[in-house]
Amino acid sequence: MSDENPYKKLKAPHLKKNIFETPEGYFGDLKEKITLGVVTEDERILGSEQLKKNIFDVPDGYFDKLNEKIISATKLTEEEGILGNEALKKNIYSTPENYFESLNSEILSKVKSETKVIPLYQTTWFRAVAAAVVLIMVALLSMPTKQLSESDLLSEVSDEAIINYLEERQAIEYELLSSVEGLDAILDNMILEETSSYSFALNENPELDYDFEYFDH
Amino acid sequence: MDDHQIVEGFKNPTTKNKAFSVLLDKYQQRIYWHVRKIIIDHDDTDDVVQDVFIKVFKNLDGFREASQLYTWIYRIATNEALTFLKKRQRKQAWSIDDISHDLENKLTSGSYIDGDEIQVKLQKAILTLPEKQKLVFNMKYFDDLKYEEISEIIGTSVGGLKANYHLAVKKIEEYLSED
Repeated sequence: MSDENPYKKLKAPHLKKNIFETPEGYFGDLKEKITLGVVTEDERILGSEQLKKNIFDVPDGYFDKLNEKIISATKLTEEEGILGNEALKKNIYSTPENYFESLNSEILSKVKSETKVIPLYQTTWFRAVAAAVVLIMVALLSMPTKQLSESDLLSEVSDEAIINYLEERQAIEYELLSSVEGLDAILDNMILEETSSYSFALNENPELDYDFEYFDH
Repeated sequence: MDDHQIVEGFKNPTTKNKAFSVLLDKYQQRIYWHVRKIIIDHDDTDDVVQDVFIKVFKNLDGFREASQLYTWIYRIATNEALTFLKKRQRKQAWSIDDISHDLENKLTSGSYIDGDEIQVKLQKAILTLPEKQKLVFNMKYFDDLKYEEISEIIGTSVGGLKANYHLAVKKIEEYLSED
């Protein structure tokens, strides 16, 4: 019936008997050997207490200051570095005499004149100029298409030339607008709209992060 | 008059001019020095500072105090100063190097500058920095603004600002150590 239950044999007590042996007195010697090994290590040259003496020294009061040093070193490097020199913080720029006294009244007078003038430009001049610009652009755009297709025209012009043209035109627009008397205000207004819309946007949505266009690359 | 009172006073037509005058007295010098360190030249700075406060005047009605008044003004000033440099660069068809070179010239030969050798050298070192590092360094080192405040002004995270500041300090220290 052993076929029916092959594991039954493993339950026989005599199978658990340890069949391995050691030489006589082995465990007694083992303890001694281990102890001896450790002791001899200590008793070699390096075991000498004299050698363990610390020959290095520190300046007086060094450890009292160490903590302080570490804390200050973890602060911004300016504290210890060249930039920690207070003289560097001196403002080297100056202004003409009484500059700030006159600045105040100058701004106030500009603010007063601007508040009266601006709406006029916004309503009449600005719209008239904008309309004229649109008309001229429409005329310019519609003319060449009668003779040649746009792609025919553009294929003859190098990319570089197009970029140069666009950059030049932008510069010319600025020049033109700023050189025409009275249009300064319009230009200012355009720039104002461009640059200050963030302040409104920010007020509406404080969480909005306005990105400056920086020079750095 | 604190900032909140200035803003409120400005919204009331009868106290508007008075409030704006107080605002000017309070901030014109801080803003002037902030812009001056970016533009270097006094006359150019004068133009920009006036534009800044005219813009403040035009937009203060819509200011809802989501940020502090002075960080808002700093923000406008920073933007105006950078726009000024960009406009000049475009007008003269200059490269970025030309701009820094021009600013450096103004630093050495311009009027209304009075510093010893090392102090001028520091300003030159600042001119070599990329725009953002320059701004952060000026506002932190000279103006003692907090990172949170600078963050409101130039719209970069505090972590990013710290990184920029450390880079700036490192570069400047290197520059100043050179002979």
